[in-house]
Amino acid sequence: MSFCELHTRSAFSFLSSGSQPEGLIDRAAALGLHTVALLDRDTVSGAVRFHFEAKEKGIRPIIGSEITLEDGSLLPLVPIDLNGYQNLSRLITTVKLRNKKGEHFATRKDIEQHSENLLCYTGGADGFMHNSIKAGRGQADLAWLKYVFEDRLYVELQRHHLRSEEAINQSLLGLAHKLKVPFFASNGPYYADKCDRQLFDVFTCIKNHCTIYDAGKLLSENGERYLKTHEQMTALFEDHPHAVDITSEIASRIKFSLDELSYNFPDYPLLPGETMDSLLRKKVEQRTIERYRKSNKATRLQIQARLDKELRIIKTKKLAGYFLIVGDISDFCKNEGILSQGRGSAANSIVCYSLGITAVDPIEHKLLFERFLSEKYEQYPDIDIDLPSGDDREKVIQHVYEIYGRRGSGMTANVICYRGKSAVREVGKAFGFGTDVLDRLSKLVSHYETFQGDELKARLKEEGVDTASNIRLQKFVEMYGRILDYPRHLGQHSGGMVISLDRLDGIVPLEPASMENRTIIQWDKDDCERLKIVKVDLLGLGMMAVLRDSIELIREHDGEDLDLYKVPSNDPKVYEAIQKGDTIGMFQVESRAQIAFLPKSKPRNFYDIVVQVAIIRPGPVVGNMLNAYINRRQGLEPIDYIHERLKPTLERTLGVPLFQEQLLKIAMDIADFTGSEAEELRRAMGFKRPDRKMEKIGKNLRDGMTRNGIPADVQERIVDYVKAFANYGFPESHAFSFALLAYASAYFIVHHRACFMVAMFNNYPLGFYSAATLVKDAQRHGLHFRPLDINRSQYIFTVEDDDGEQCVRLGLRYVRGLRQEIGEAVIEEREKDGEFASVEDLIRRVPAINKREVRALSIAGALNFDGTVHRREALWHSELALQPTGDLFDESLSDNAKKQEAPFLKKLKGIELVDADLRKTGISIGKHPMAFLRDELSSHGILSAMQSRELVTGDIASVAGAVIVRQRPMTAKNVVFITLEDETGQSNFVVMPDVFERYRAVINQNDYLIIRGIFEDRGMLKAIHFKPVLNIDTEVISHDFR
Amino acid sequence: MSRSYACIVSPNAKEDKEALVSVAHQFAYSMEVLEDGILFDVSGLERLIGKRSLIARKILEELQKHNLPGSVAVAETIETATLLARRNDGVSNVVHSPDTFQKLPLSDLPIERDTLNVFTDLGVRRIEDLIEIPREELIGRYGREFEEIIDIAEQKGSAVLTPNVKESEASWSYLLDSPVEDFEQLIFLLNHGLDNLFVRIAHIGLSTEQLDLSFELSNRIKRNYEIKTSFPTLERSFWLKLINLRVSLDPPETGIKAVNVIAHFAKPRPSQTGLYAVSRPEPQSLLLTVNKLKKLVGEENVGVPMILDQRAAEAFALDAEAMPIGRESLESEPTKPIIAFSYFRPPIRAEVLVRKGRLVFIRTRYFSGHVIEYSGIWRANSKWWENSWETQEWDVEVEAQGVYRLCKAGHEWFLIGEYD
Repeated sequence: MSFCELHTRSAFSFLSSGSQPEGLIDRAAALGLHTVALLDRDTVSGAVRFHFEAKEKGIRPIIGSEITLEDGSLLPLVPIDLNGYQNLSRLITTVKLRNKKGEHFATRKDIEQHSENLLCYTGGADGFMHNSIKAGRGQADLAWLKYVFEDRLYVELQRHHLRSEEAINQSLLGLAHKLKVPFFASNGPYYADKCDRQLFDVFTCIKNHCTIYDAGKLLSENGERYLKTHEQMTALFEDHPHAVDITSEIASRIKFSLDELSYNFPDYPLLPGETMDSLLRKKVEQRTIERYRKSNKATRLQIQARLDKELRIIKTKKLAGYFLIVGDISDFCKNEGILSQGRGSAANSIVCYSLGITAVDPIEHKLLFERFLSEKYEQYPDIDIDLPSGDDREKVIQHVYEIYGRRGSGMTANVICYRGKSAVREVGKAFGFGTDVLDRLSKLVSHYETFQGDELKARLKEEGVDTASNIRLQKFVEMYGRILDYPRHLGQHSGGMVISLDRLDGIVPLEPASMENRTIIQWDKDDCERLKIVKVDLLGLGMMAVLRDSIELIREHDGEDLDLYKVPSNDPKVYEAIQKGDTIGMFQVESRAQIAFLPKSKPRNFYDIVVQVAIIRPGPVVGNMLNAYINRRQGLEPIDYIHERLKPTLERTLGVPLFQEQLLKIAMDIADFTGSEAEELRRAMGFKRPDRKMEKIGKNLRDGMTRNGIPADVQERIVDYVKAFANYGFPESHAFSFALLAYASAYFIVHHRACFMVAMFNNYPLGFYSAATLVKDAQRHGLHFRPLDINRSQYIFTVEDDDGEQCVRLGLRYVRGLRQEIGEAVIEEREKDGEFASVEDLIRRVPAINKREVRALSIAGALNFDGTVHRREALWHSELALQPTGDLFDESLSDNAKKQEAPFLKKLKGIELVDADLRKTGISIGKHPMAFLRDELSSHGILSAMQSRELVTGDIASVAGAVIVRQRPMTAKNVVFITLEDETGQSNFVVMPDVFERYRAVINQNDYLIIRGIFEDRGMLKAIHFKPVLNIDTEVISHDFR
Repeated sequence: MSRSYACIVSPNAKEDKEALVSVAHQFAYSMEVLEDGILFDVSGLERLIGKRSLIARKILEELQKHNLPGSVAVAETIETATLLARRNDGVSNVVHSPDTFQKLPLSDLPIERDTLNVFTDLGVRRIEDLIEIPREELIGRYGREFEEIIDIAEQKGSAVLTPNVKESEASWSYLLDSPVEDFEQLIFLLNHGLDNLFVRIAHIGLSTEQLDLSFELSNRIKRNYEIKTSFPTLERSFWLKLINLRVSLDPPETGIKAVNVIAHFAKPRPSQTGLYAVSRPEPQSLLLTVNKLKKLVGEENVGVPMILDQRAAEAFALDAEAMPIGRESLESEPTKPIIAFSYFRPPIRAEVLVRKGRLVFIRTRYFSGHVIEYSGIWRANSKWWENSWETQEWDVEVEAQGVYRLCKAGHEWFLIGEYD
């Protein structure tokens, strides 16, 4: 009988293991182990990865968990069958939800209540019985375990060549004989391979907040806790060969596999005589009539056929309940006045459109249902609903909890992993680097790059630190590389919710999220997908909130009653702005890359925007489709459809395949594939490694094309095309949904700029640019802003009408350090008892305000009281007003304060004023900081952004500005893009890798730069030299990312 | 008459303390050692040297003569001198007062961070900006305690110099007419020297717990001995015994030409002896015994065993300086059986016969015998991040001998200890 390792632990035990689940399986496969069990601490977070990786490698996976008990020891439990798994999952949920995050433990009662069909081991060195024996109550505790688990209890023996452990083993063996409990051998691996012990020790340091030098006995005594072979284990337990043999027997008792988890979406409440399918048909048909009231007969016939097809597939897949429930969520949003829009492939469905889940008409736009739901393919639908971020979204989430219960629904988890900065910091701390060194090391890893392999070593060398001569640094670099992508903790996914018919805690354990009133499941979205768990994504989209607020503001100030779906289409001014790349603030088309591309693609209709949304993506860029599209769009190259039969499908995108739906359609048109077969083709082609399935589908494709008379050479071209495109195609339906929002945002910004900008500022942060950049852009478009004023401003930004012209009044929300409740209390008090006469008045009437808030308001310019005092005087007065006084002196002091003048204080002006604005609020409505340097810069021949637009290809020029974007797209082969901003607009630069390396420090460490470059065809300057702009030091928020 | 204070701030203040004191000594008697330099009173030197800037330059010259880095300032108040000198830390130059003082940033003054931020927002960034603001206005906002800061800003600080440089040791030395080969012949002389030294120390109410003894040898080499006790004492005979033991451990290789003894001052230990019988040996006798043991077995083999909080090949170390902690309490805790273990120093080389992977026979130069039973391998390894180590051990019971700990290093076997 060969040895089965029945007790391993992975990195999902968070800081308690040195290997990923996949690493354990790889090693087990290399060692020839046929069964391995994963028991992470109080979690099954790594179970799905472990399960699927094991299946792929031909290893039998067993899933269990170590449960933390009151005394801190661990009790390993493994489910025998589904019922056992449900008990385990509910046990973890119970203990996790009962306590604060990170402070959970199970009581004996919990164990007793959930013990059914669970196997129990006595555990290793940190196990329950080791603790008991040390405390002298071994016999009593083992007897309790036997009473609870009966014949499902096993004494676990682990041997790591440690004297102390063997002493406990002997006690355990004695007790096992005495109480007639079988025993088995395990190595209790904490890591897959010997070398992983080092990372395990580093994790121990991180967990205990100590360094490797002072961790002392917290570190492992030796490196024996790795996966061992049958032979190694037999040698270790040569005195108890049965302990090794029995492992196969125990493994055979365990029948449970994650494959058994049959997940059911909850039933929808029905009236007698109804089925979910009949109810869905009834609802859909009723609403279809409303949706397509104005359509002609031919369309109606088309609609009916499509409806029948979709409903048939939904029935076959038993998904009627899912659609009804998502439809209900959508209805809830409508009833509550919450803007919602389904996105993603759901927009391919007429059922979703009819139920009001999505806003894109799949008939009008010829969207393929098969991309959403395929008859043949086992994939389950995934409906994403965009909601305004903030309170509205929370309302919908809480509605779901309310309807399906706290244990019936949960958010999907997001596994937070070690990345560049966190890896540098945590590993650096473990190696005892001080704060200064950590800061330096951390700065080496900017937000938009993570070093892999020897990159960090090279970067350190550039900084004058040679790791070759320092073993500590060598180990640091090595551990940094190894810790990358290891899980750090479980976070919350941005919106995925899982709902279950039976209690969800019987499928996956739930635990509290860091946000109040939220729970998360222990699996992430990929795990859910692999286990075919249907989820609804309730995503917060800042732009939805902006559009919602804009609609209200436009109704109030412009008297127009607009709706997201009633925005006038084909507005020439909108297209004019988009064609110019004048799109800052517009959804999805405002990025640096979009702005560079729009003047060339010049979108002329809604579908062009759909293309625009889809084309600036890594896929088309890498696949060289972007260039092909631009060239064809500009008439620089002929449109090539490869074959005439592809023309109807590719015509709209000028022969460039962009959308996944196009691939499906191609297969259906040229090879007579069914919709399901086409979807299968798309998925198969998307895999990086060829497999039999792909070979078979490829052959079917070729056979189909042959039948349709497509010549062999064209067939090859088409297959290559399909292969390349399968990896990057974007769902057309998704692009449609986003394009709707993009157009709406463009319309609002062009026609109702004041209302839209107010909505933007009130929902900030969102989008690509800092609030300061948004202000400057709005000002360049003629929008006027009014300053902060304690007697005029609301907490949020507001639109003010001034002789028919709309201006934006800054809100107190942006005053840094001012608590929201205080800001709102100030407004409430003002509305109740009138304007504030002085700082003293403010402090008296809003007593909860603290001195930092008063100071912040003063210097932000909110306490100028109609210009009677300047900001510094206001601050000076508030310093006196903040002094505690008794009632007796109240009045006299306030009079005093009023009379006082402060001639010794200089009034803030010029760049100082702008600096104060930016420091205290993050925005400034004064001049752009660069404007103060313009004369001097001009005298040196340094251009403004506007002047740089007049350059012609080959011109060499210097441009100066505030760095608002540093971008290194993964698709750009280490090319960095920089955007500078000044008072005239923005200028874009491309920095080749060698130049970037030469000027890395100057680029990363300065907020203002003078960049010299050569003007290129693509409208950007190719940078050749960088230097900082001196004599300027204001806050600049740059959008730095990969 | 106005006063003048000089301040030297040095980046190596700690290491160069003695040298800084010596420089300051050339200008003043009254001085205060600071964490980052030294402060001293140079009032009256104006007559001798000239105005303050000249005094500062003179001090700087002295610093440069001694190759000491540091910045110097001379001013009317202690605070001004200190702030000015600190402003230039690490740079060897002279800072003049008071004009440059007013240009100093406000952050140099001991102002709370919150208040400092307010001043920054107000545009009050330098001392000269602060003194523009009427005193009453400032006090009204930041309280009476802020007056101290205003005084400093106006160079009216009232800090007083707290002399803290005092003698910390006393010495005695003797030059011999001709070299003495045998140290014991010097005991009489040392007895006299210690008597002289201890009388002086007792006179100022102090004691000592460290003597630095040095011999100048006939070959011009100096031999130094550092002798410490864990308690201060002026008991001459006790010190003489300690000196004798220490020197005999490492005697001078040639004749002694001169003797020098430095006694470091310590506060005397208040003690009362004789009233009650103590349950442990007198510290003096214990220390003498320890030193006798050191003489017998070598200094490195005597000390208090300390269990190390680290993964190490040997889980303990000897602390030669520590004193054993006696347990006086008679409270009986439930005692667990402990297996005592003695380490062999040095480990005993062994030949081990291994048959079919099993330990069978052990031979050492002291004994040999069949292995009756054994357990292991016990493995330990750690410090992979610097100098990694690993051990492989077995516990073996040798027929008619005992239970030993066997270890393998490379291809060699050693017995490293025995279970009691």
